[in-house]
Amino acid sequence: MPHLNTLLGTLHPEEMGMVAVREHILWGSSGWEFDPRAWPRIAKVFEKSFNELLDFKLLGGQTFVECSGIGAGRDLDFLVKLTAVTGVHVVASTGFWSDAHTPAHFRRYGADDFARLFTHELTVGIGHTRIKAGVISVGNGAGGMSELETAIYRGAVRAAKATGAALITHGIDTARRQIKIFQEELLALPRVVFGDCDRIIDLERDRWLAGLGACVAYDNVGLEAWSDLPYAMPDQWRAELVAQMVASGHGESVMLSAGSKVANLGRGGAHLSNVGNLLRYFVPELEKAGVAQEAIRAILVGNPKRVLPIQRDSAGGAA
Amino acid sequence: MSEIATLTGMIAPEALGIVAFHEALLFGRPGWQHAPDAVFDRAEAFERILGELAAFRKLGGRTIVETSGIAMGRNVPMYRRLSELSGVNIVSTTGFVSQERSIPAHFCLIGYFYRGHGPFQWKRAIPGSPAPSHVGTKEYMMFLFYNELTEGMAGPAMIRTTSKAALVRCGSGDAEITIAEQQAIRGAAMAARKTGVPVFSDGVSQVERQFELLTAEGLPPGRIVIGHCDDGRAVDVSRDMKYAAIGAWIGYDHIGWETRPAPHAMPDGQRAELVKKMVDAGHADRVVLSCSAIGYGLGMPATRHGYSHLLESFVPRLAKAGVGERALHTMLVENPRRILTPVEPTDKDADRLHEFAQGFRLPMKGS
Amino acid sequence: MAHVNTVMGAIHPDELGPTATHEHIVWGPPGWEHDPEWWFHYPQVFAKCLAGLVEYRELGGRSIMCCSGIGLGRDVEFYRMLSKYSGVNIIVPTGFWAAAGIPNHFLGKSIDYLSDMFVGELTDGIGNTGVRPGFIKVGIGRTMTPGDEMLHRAAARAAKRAGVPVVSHGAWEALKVLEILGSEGMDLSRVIISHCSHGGAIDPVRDRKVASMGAWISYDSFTVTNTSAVTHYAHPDEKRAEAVKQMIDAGFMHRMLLSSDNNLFSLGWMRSSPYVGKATQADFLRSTPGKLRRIGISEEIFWKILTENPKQVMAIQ
Repeated sequence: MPHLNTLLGTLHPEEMGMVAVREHILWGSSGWEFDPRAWPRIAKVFEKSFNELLDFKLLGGQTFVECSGIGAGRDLDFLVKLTAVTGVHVVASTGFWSDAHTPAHFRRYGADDFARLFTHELTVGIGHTRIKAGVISVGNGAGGMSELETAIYRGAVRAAKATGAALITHGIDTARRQIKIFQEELLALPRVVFGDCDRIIDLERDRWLAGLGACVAYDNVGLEAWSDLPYAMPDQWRAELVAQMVASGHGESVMLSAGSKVANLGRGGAHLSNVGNLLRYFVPELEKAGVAQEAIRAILVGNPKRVLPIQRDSAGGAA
Repeated sequence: MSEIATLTGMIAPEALGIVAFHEALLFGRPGWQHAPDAVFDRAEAFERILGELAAFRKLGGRTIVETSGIAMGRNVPMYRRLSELSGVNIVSTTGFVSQERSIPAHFCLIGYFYRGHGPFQWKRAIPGSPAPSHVGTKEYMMFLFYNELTEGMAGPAMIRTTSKAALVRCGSGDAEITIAEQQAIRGAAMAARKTGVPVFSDGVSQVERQFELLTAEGLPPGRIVIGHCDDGRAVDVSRDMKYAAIGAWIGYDHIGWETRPAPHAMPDGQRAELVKKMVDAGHADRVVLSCSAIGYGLGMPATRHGYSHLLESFVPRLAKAGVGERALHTMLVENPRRILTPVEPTDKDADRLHEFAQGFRLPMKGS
Repeated sequence: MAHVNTVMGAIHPDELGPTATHEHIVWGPPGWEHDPEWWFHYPQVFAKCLAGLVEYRELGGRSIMCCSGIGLGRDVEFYRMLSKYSGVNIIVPTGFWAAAGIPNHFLGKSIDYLSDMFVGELTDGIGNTGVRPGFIKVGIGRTMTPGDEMLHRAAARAAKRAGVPVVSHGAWEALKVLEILGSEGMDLSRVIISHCSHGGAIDPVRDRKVASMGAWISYDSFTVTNTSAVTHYAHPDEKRAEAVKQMIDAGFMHRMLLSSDNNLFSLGWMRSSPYVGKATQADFLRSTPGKLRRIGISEEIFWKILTENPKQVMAIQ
């Protein structure tokens, strides 16, 4: 039966409600825990996370996918407690973001080792617990896909096929390379979400990906308001992108998120994106761009419900 | 105030349709979360209950009264979604049943830990009560229920939902009524008087004493449903007729519980006879029917029969036994509607109480 | 190999360091979560508990035994966060408080069910967390009820199978507790009789008897002196210091544990205490050495009792 693995156990897809598909609570590159300057004031971070999740919830959000993955700040205890005291369904992810976010220990892993690790976290539990990850989240840094990243992608694909979990990728500049890997590994694209599609604007690419059956996520909503990052584009552009995708019949392939990082560990100052802003500011922006209510609802509720849950076909293989 | 609170909002009494008056969706004794033998697969539970509700709806059922009360697994957000998807109205309940099964220690440890000392003591002291504060009193229980009836039921994660309860549950064990149960029973009656909702009581071997306690708090018999009258250990049709005659409601609500080891099991055939006798004696307008089906057991098995058992098997059985259409309609549709429709509150203090029951917020540093 | 189970994993007994052996990070009878009267702002409670533990560590404490049992506040993820960010080892129990505080689900369960459950947690971990408890906690009400006796029997059977100590909240009926545990074949040197310094429970004669039978005496209510708050166990610390001195003089320094039985936060009771006005484990480390020094017990002995004794009783063999 399709279900979403949250940190408190399984969840029926019908209970997912509005979903933010790619957010972070704690976020740091591998090794942050050895740098005292990166250590969070954890009680403050907890309070801030609590407030942001409740804000999201009061605006109607119900499910929050934490994409930090292994070693990059995913703190299981923190997340379990957070979901238990806010009532927001929090989903943990397995996977490694990129070369830079992969702890040295895992650098000797091959694709199959990664697949085993991810599969274990998805089916048995994370670490010594029996608390399961819900999605696979992998990515690559800027400037192509390194050998290690290729192995991570391949491991992720194999784990996705073995478990029926959805795969969220980050690193849109390698979209073609990713597609090639998925095709080589025979992964069905409807279970893949290409994140960061609003880092490099390319409507043709997004339509191409959607045409292949994959999902595209515009997951840096609200970045422009505070960031001078080169890819911090105005929400208005993002809304227009969505409108154009919907207009060309690709509304079924769009997902949204704020890409917030409640604690940006040792990475130069605060990250001010906020998951609540997705619903507070961006949804009106979409309406302004002419996206119909039903289409917005499909993007926030219907698409994640279709794509994110763990799904297997009747033979026990990945659907 | 003649609308009825369901999990998806207030509805007109006419919209209730056929009602199963006493069912459970998730069901477990408080503390099941800690038991190694309890498995809660929420997705599976959702799927299963959704199936049950759909089957009930397909047979013509429109409303389920979910009577598990405060601490027995009630999950308001989940139930609300189930109601939306299945199209079955779900009416939910505040209150407790017996102490052993449902009142957690927090509500029972009277005066042992709960000393209302410090700046708050005077605020909630009950005039004339020897207790230093209102904790461990019937008033405490009343506040608890009253808030769930008027503000919304407590949800998981320390969040009060916006869904209001529409009746109060109370009950007792078989051998005696404990102090905590007394407080809950009296508190239920008080809350019911202040809001106009009915009380559903169970623990039929103590029915007399329970009825006394409820009426002693000023609740009229017409607002009391005596549940579990088809408890196999305590069947007594003359008792049922006696209470029906004074205007109370009789619940035959364990339909389908036919086999041991359930201690209250009894064949449905005997239940049908009971109902027939009541109908023949002219008490059809005092009887409600239900199955006490458990959709998903938390640390206990679910029932083999579902919510649809009532309409699928028991109603045809009654028809065969000679209970007429008219009487069936009365028991399945009209009676529940008359019970659940809130009456004018009989406790005129309700407005002032509302302010009082809002309580006060903890003064927190830095806020 | 001898080890102690903490929420962050097993450690060597020598790693325990100064340990307060009967504390509560959070504690409350089950069911408070259904009662909006007592709800609280979780981040604030986290901040308070974290600050309390950090302060405890700064004053020399290294480990804490949180005696909140199943359904009574024990919260593994919460404690792991606290342990990770304060550096204090936290040891949690399996088991309950008295029968009066058992979650309803477990009422009427048999001794075997309970002892199997305790062993299950001690070997496979608590729930799905994989965290193993370090001891078994049971208790009595004001007297030993049949339910309390059942709990003690279950604890003894589980302790024998898993090699862990038993903490009994039972000073008021200490000899009966020992009799029951002993009759189940439990090694009394793995038994801690808690609350021997509660007001109304102080009894040096009993303590010497219990110690001479090989069990541990726990003087664990230091700093709880405010009789307007918790009348049934508040008491002047001087009286407790006196009891400690008598035990040392009688040669039982190695059968004694010291602690303060404070909650960093109370769940569902003690309305005025959560945010202000109550002692913490840090206060215990701050104030108790002075109380002892005044009657001739050096600070060195205080720290020695805090360090050496828990190491012996807590090691899982």
